[in-house]
Parts: sequence; C-alpha cells; structure tokens
Amino acid sequence: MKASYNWLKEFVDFDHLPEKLAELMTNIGLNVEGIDEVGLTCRDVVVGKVLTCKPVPKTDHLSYCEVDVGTGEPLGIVCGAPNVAEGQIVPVALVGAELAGGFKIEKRKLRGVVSTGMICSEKELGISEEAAGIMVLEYSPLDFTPIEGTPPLVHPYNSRGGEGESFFKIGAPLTDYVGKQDWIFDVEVTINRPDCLSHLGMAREISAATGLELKMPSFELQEDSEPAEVKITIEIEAPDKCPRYSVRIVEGVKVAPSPLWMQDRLRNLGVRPISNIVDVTNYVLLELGHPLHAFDYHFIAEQKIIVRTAEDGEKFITLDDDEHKLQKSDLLIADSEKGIALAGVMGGLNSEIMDDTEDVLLECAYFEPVGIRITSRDRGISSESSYRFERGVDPEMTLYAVDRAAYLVHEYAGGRVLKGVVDNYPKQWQSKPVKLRTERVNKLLATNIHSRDIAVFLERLGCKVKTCETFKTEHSLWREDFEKLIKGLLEMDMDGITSLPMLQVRWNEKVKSGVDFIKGDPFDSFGDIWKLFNKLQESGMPESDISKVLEKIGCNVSFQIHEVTPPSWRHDLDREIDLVEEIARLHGYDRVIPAASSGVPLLFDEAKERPRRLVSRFKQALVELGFREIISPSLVPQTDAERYPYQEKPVKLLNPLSEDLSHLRIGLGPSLLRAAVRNLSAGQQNIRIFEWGKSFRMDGGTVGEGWRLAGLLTGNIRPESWIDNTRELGFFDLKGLIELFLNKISLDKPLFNPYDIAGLSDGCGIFVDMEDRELRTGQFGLLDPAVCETFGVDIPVWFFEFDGDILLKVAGAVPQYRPLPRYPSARRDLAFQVDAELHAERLEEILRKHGGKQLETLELFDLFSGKGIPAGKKSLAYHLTFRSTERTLSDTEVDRWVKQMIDGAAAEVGAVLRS
Amino acid sequence: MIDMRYFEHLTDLLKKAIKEVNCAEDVEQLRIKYLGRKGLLSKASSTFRLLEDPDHRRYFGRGFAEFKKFATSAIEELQEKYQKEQHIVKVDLTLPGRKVFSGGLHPLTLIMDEIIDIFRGMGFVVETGPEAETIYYNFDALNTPHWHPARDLTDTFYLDLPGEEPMSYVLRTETSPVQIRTMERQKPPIRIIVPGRTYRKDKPDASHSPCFMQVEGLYVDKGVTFADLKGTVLAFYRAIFGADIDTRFRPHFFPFTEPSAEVDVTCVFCRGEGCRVCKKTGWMEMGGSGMVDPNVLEGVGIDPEIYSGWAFGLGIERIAMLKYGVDDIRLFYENDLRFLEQF
Repeated sequence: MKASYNWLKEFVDFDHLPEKLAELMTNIGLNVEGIDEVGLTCRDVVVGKVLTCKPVPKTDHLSYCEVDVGTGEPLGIVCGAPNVAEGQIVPVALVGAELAGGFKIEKRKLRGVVSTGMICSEKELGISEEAAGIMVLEYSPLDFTPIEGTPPLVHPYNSRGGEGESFFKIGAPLTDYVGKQDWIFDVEVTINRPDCLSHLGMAREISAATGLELKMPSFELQEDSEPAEVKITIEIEAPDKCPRYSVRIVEGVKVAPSPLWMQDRLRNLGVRPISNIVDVTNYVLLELGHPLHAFDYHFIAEQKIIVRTAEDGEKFITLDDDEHKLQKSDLLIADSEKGIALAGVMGGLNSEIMDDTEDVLLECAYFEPVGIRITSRDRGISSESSYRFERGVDPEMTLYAVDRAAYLVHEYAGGRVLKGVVDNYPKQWQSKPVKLRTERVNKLLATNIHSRDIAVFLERLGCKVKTCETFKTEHSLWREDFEKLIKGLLEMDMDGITSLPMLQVRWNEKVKSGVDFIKGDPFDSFGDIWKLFNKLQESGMPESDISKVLEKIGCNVSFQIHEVTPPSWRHDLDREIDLVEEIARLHGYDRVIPAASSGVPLLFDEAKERPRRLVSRFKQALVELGFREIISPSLVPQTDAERYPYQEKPVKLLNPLSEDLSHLRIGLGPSLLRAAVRNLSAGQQNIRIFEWGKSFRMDGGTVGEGWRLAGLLTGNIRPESWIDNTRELGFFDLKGLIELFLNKISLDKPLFNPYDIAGLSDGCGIFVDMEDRELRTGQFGLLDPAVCETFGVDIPVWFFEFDGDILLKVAGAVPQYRPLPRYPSARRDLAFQVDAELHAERLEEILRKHGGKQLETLELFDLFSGKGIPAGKKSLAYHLTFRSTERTLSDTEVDRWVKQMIDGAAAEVGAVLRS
Repeated sequence: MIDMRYFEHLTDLLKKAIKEVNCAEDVEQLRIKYLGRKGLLSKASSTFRLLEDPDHRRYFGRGFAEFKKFATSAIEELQEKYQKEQHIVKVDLTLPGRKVFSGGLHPLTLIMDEIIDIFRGMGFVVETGPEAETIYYNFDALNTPHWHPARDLTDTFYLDLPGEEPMSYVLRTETSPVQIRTMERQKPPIRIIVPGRTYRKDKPDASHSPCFMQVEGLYVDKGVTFADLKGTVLAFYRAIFGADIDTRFRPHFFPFTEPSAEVDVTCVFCRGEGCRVCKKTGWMEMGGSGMVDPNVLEGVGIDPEIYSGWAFGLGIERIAMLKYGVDDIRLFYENDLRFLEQF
C-alpha cells in the first residue's frame, strides 16, 4: 500500500526524516520497498487570474491574455491552450521559473506579441500526465465548460468563504494549494495485517514503536435535527456474512470536484479523483482503513436496505458497467426490488453517485472476510474495498468512519447530515483474552524483557493488559517422576486434585542411582506445569488455591501472566505466540543477539547420507568422462509424450501456465534433446551432456515419481585440433564410456543385453541389466532418427538413460582389495574362426568358463573377416593372461588350459583355432 | 677372395662407432656410411652379385641379411634417441596444446553443494521428499489458512489426477512439506536441511521461473531460540558471501512460523554502501525464516510447550545469481553450453 509521509505525521508527531521513518517502519514489519518524492519542484509558480483573453491575430489557436499575478501590473502571456478563458484562476509560471523536465521560462516574442510567463498544464507542472489544456484552479462563473475527459478541478465549494468569493489568493505560491512536497512510501503490508492498510494503522505501529502519542483526526460533526432512522431501515438477512451495517444520510449535497489538497493526496496515493462524495469515501478508506460506499439515496426503493445472499443466477451490473451472474455465496446489498451493491466488493451502476445526486447514503459495514474473498475470486473483481474486507477490517470502526465521512461530505459538498447513525449490529464482536507468560517470551527469543515492558508494548498496540500476580517458588524433582506426576494430575478430575494430600517428594534415593536430575530448571518442566495451571484455572479455581495445589506436588514455579485482550482491529492475535511476535517486533528483532546453535551435533544417518553421496559420485564420474551437467525444467509440453516413446502415461497439470508447460516429464530424453538442439543451433558441434532429475508418471490414479540419470552425445570422439585428426563418435565409443562410467560408480556386474528398444535405433540399443537380467537398470544406444527428427535433429545422437532409484540401490559397491600379483604371468594369443552371427560375449563366456580360475584377463585385440576367412565366418583374436596367486605357472599347465579353452569353444560353438 | 667374416667385422666396427656417437649429426654420418646409397651395405650387395658358389652365396646372404637388420635397427634407435632431443630444441612450443573434452557441474549444483557443505558442518542432516505433494503436506500441515492466496489456482500448480479428489495434489511450492514428513517420522532433536526443486505459477522472466530450487532448514529441540536462528543464518551467509556480510531480520508473515522474519543480507555488490541493485538500501532480501508455529508442531505430535524450533528458506538461483553475477534466472534452465562452460 502507498502511504504519505505528511499524512502519517498528522497522526504521530515524529522527528524522523522520510528515510529514517522508512527504516523504522521496515524494522517493525512494515517493509518500505521504495520512497517517491512528490510535489512541485518548480519554483516561481503563482496563482494568477485571467483578466482578458483575446485571440492573437492570424493564428488559429493562440490567445493573448492579461493575467493578474498580484503585483498590480498584469502580465501579458500568450497561451496556446484551447480551454483558457477570461475570469479563470490559473497557475502561472513567472519568467525565470524552471518547470518539470527542466523547461525554463523566458520572455519571448510570439507572432509579434511579447509573452512574459506561461499558464501551465498539470503535466508542465509535474502534477499529472494531463496535458490537454491548462490547469484551471477555478473556473469563471461565466465559463464553466471543462475540457472533455478531464474533471473540472475546482468548484466554488472549495471556497470555504461561500460562493462568489475566491478561495485563492492571487499571487500566492501555487504550493500553498497544490503540489505540496511529500514522500510516498511503497509499503509491503503482510496478509495478516489488514489493520495496517491505512494511515491510521501504520501510524499506530509507529506510535507503538516510538512511544509517541497517536492523534486521531479531530472533527466536530454538525447534525441536523431530523433523525436518519425515519428515512432508512436496515434489514440484515445474513448476519453471519454481515455482522454489522451502519449508515448515515446527508441530504442536499452538491456534487463537485473535491478540494485540491484532497485530490492531491488521492492522486499521490494512486487513486483517481472523481467527485467530492466519492473522493471522501476513498479518502476515509486511506485514512482509517475502513471501506465505505456512497449511494444515491433516491435510487433506494422503499427506504429500506436489505442485506441478503444473492439468488443463484441473479444478474447484477457493477458500477464499472460489467454484468455479473451471481451465486448464493455472494452477498448483496439490496432494496425491496433489486440489488444495489455487491457487498464489500463493488457498488451497483443503478445507485451510484451522479452529477445531480442530492441525497447521499453513506454505508459503513463489517463483512465477514471469507465470503468477500469467495465473491471477489468468483466474480473476478478485486477492489480496494474487497482487498480490505477479505483480510478483515475493524467491526468497531464503522461508527467513527461513517461520522468522519459524513463530516467531510458536509464540509466539501454541503447539505445537512441527518441525526444519528442507523446501526444494525446483530453479531457483536467478542474480544477473547489471551494469556501471555513473560518467561515464554524470553525463553523463545533468548531475551530479558521485563514484564512491565511487555505490558507497555501491548497497550501501545491497543491491547488491554491485566498482569496477574506473580508467585514464585522453585521445584526440585526427578524429570521422570515429575512427568508422571503431572500426567496423572492432568488426567485426574478436580475433586481428586483438591483432595490430594501433601506429596512426599522422594528424590533422595534416586539421586544415588544417578539419572537425569532436574533442579531449578524452570523451562524444561514449564510447559507441563503450564498445562496443569491452565486446567486448574479453567475449572474456576482461584489463583491462591492453584498455588497451593502446585505446592502440594512439591513443585512451584514462577509465572508472570498477562491476560491480554486484543483490540477489535487485531484479528490476528488469538494465541500466546501471536503476542510473542508483537513483543519481538516492538522490542526489535535486531536487539536479539545472534547465538551459536546450542546442542550436541546430531548423528548422521547413513541411510540418508548414502544416496546423496552416490548422486555426487554419479555426476562426478560423468564429469570426468567429459560430460557437462544440465538442469532442465520438469514442466514440458504434452507433445513430448508423442515425440519420445516412453511407455508410461504422463502427469498433466490442472492449471498450466501455458501449453508448453502443461505436463510433467516422464523421462529426460526430450529435455536433453532440447538442450542439444539449442546448442547445435548455437553452432556447437560436439555435445556431451547429462542430467540427474526427477521423472513423473501416472501410477494407478496417482503420481509415481522417480529419479533418472540420462546423457546425450553427438559430434566427434575428440575436439578437432592441428595436431591430429578426429572422427565421428560411434557405438563403441558410447559403449566404452558407459562401461567406464559403470565401473567408476562401482556397479557390480552389469549385464549388457542388446535389444530393439523403443526410442533407440533397431540393432543399436542395449539394456543394462543387473542381478542376472532381473533388474532393468538402464539403456543406451543410437537415438532413433525418427525421434530426433521430431525435435529437428538430423545427425546421429547417442543417448543413455538409467533409472536413478535403481542405480542408487545397486551402485556404490565397496571395492575389496586384492593382493598385488607376486608371481609372473603367462601370456598366450589365440584367434578363432566362428560364425559371423555369434556374439563375441558368448565366445568370451565359453573361453572364461574353460580357462579356469587362473585365467586373469581375456582381451579381444582383433576382429577380422574377409580375405582368408570363409564367407559367413569371422575371426576373433584374444590376448590371454594366466596367473596364479600362489606360484609361477608352468608352460605345460598353461598349455593344458589353453587346450581346454580351444576344445570347449570348438564343442560349444564350433570355433576353429586359426594358426 | 672374399673374407667370409666380413660381416662380423663390419658388426664390430659399427658397434664401436655407435659408442662414439654424440649427436644427431654423428648418427646421420653413420647412416650414410653404412646404409647410404654408396654405403658399405650397398657395396656389399654389389659384391654379392659376383659370387657364383651357391654355398658362398647362401653364407654371404645370411650374413648380409643379419647385418642389415642389425645396422638398420641400431641406427633407427639412435635416430630416435637424437631426434627427440632435436624436437625439444626445434618444435614451436607456442603452438596450442591438444584439447580434450572437459565436463563440469551445473552452477546450481555447485552452489547447492556449497550450501549443503556449510550446513553439514553445522550439524545438519540432508532430507528430501517428493515434488508432487498432497495439499495436506504442502498447505494444511504448514498451518496455511484455507483462504490463503498461495492455495489459489493462479499461484500454485495443481495436478490433474483422474483417480483423486480434484485439487488434492500440487507441485510443492516450497520444500517445507519435507519438514512435516520428517517431524512425523522422527522425534526431536531434529536438525535438517532440505534441498530440492519447487514450483510456482510465475510467468518466466529475468527473475522468475516456474520451477526453481530451494534449501530449507529446520531445527527443533528443547530450548531452541530466535537467537539461535539469527546466529545460524548469519553464520551461513558469512560462509557463502564473506565475513563482512551482515544480516537484518525484519518482521514478516508466514503461516508456518511465528515470530516470522524476512532475512536481508548486506548487498553483495556494494557491501552495504548503497547501490542501484539494492535500491540504495544496502540490503538485499534473501528469504523467509522464523520460529516454527506451535500449530505446526502440534500437528505432528510434538508438544510446543516442551519443544521449540526454527526454520528458514532460501532460493538457490538467487544465491547463484548474486555469487556469479548472473542477471537472468532463465539462463540456468536453458542449458546453453556457452553459459555452463563458464563455471
């Protein structure tokens, strides 16, 4: 909300300069987000009167005016505005004046006529953006034709001296009347503090923080003898939604512009001035925070206002000329025939103040917040009024606010204020006292605020505070015993408690066994005693008896209890903790000395630490292999599900921001592809990226959520350089990287399972399985060109994706040390001719099986087919290494194992040894 | 007559000569002498043509082949040895080095890891939880009133789940639901931080992203005070931004804490002097904090008369932006390598 420094100062007489005040307000929770200095900066602008006004010959728009500026000698000024006229009172910039935007006034000659000064528009003065004509302070009685689209700024009613006599002193500085210097604060008022949505409310906070007196606006309302109650009756059909409805009637008003100072204030605070009546309601809203509405009395049928819920489907046109179809949840201010206002939200077009309105009905009500909130939301209308009602206004304020408004209407629009407020208040506001313990405040805040100061702070905020007698003793008891005792007492009925004998406190024996002794530790047991205390008090037991009961159980404690009754404007204070916050604010958050957290360092839970450490390891492993981590939004377009063939069903948002962000991602493929596209189009050729992120899928009726780890590669095997050539990535580059990665994250025995996988090119995809192919961990291969194409990628893209949750389960095996070899190895090379179809993995498996446990490594070093190899066959050549941990192997035994391997391979897959 | 020990002789000679080699020049001399077009081997081969006796030819041929093999490999070895030296002297060392692909972590990961490290050092345990949350955990259990605007369809993403009550699941708007999940499971003392993704229905612009990351801390025990909160938060911001950083706590409102405070830190650009970024205040807003509301504790079965606690939250992107001087939050989620490679 915007707040005026000058206005606040009318409530509290502080010395703070604007910046200091802003700091003070920020420190108590009224965060000042910005300060705007407003008002006229231009000097030498005075009030002048246009004596004569004649067209300049041979021009179609210039006028030559003689203007009285109080010096005796009228100034000759050429003016180009269409609305200048004889008899007007206008702002005049004298020669030497500097206007908004640095424009300097000089004596000038225009079309042969000398002009000594300038009659200014609002824009030229820097008051508003209005530039269609000059600013007219007061129209001539002869010429009352304001320019189109702008309200006449001033009307004879501004002159308190009565009609005909000018309010303005010719020659006086303009700032005496308009554009006074002020500072407009942009204040962030939190949702729990609707009472601060006014100058009164903010001033009250300033007063509470500084201890300076809060001064309410002083005014004396002059009432007519005719009572208002004969002119209007108020019937509240829905007292739950409208606990209070108060009105006043002012008859015989004259609708006109409101006084300049009021317009100034409203404009500075972002409210457009409309007319004296409407402006007064807005002014009082900003002043006191209570919304008001003004009806034209004559549009109310049968002198009766009915506050009722709307009929389902009832039509209503608000004063912004919008038709709404209402529901039963909407509250309507109506007469016997029709709705006249959407309660607390906006008035009706059928009863608004018109230029010829004479009799005004001022409404000041208290509406229940939730209902207003629902109507505001359902009807899509948010107004200054609904904004406050839905947060909660002061039900006790209606009389004062409606009086204030009636006074201002009377002052600036004339008429007579009928006697009395017609006040229908079916549901009285009840204040609920809240107990507050001084100890609780100081224990939570780690402060040492005195009980007396606590009471003072709360009183400044408008609370009524009764500080209860203090009784102070100590207790010394075993915690265990004590807890048992209190628990017993809390379950006991009152008769039982009062008839308790004096208890023997048996703590001496237990000291010997040495556990957990509390002595004079009022806080640890404080909460329990407090509960007991409350129970006893609620039963109606006098405090002296309560202290006796406490003494009986050998436990006495010091209580300083404030019984705090919050004021009617503070609906947010209904628990002890709410009051603690008030004390903290006013004492000053900055006065709480930062402390190091007390307590023993808490033990880490390995089960929770492990996944986090593993994720770091996954990421680190990929980084070591040259991958760059990306993070993509989890919100994706629906089309992703069509473009990338994940098998699950995606989760849809109920209320997406846009089509592009309408679903949660099922997998990371599309995210990585999008990142690839972005970088390819930015001219990157080599891309190696990965992401660790959540994926979401429909799981039955609800959401299944899981981690994924995926990566994407495209481009060359290594960066191009002058020193040697590079080449495009191939399948075995990817496979090698995956093998290395799985090795780095200590994945125990992954199995590669070639398969035609959806999303990957046929014949170029591999599942990574665990635990004898039971557990599908992930997949990798060449992305299906058809998938790539839907993302606009036409180059080979290599891709892998793992189920992160499974990786977390199976990775991170702790390596077990194997002694370094002490005996030499024996090496052999073997080449086999096998069927071209045979998987190398199969042959390797057979060779290992027959090679025995001394076969240390088996490494493919050549794959060959073609010349010398029959069609349909291929040659696979291996380096073999044999080693024992116990001795040096002899040639004969190695030869024997080699022979077993050769025979085994021949028998199982018909492999032929090539020599 | 041909000396049949010709090649043995040559071998001895060559061996001797090799010992006297000192530089690449010597090697070249040797090569010319033995292997050159008019060298000794060339001469020997012309001699071979003159032989007629097959035994001689065989004998000579074997000796020739052996010597040729020996001489060639010995000289190559020397060439290699001396050429290396030559390279060290002659290669242009100002040529650029060979490039390799280098990976790297995302800047948000780097910041997140740093934050986690700092809090772990202060005895906090890392907790995580689901991103698709029930309204119970996201709002109700956090004491968010039913009328609170955070629950509106305009502020929070709801999920469209055919099998569930409408508007019963949201994308979590903060990581706080994990506080509740933890407190339900575990009795105090509790000291956790919760890093993770969160979602709000904000149109993307330079300072908003519909999905973003938060870290949140919670400490519940007997005798935990507002002073502890201030101390911990101050220690954290000093650790991340520097020892000259100060914090300012100003009253605010959050449903799940009371007293609540917004935390400002000394502007990291002007160090408190006042600049354009901090709107001349010297402070920058960092995140919310406060004492855990008794309603929240009661809701999870922790007695607020015995235990108290505090919580705070902060945005990862905000910290990353301040630390790295990034001026547009969207850069973190666009994954442009030219951006990522700067970290």
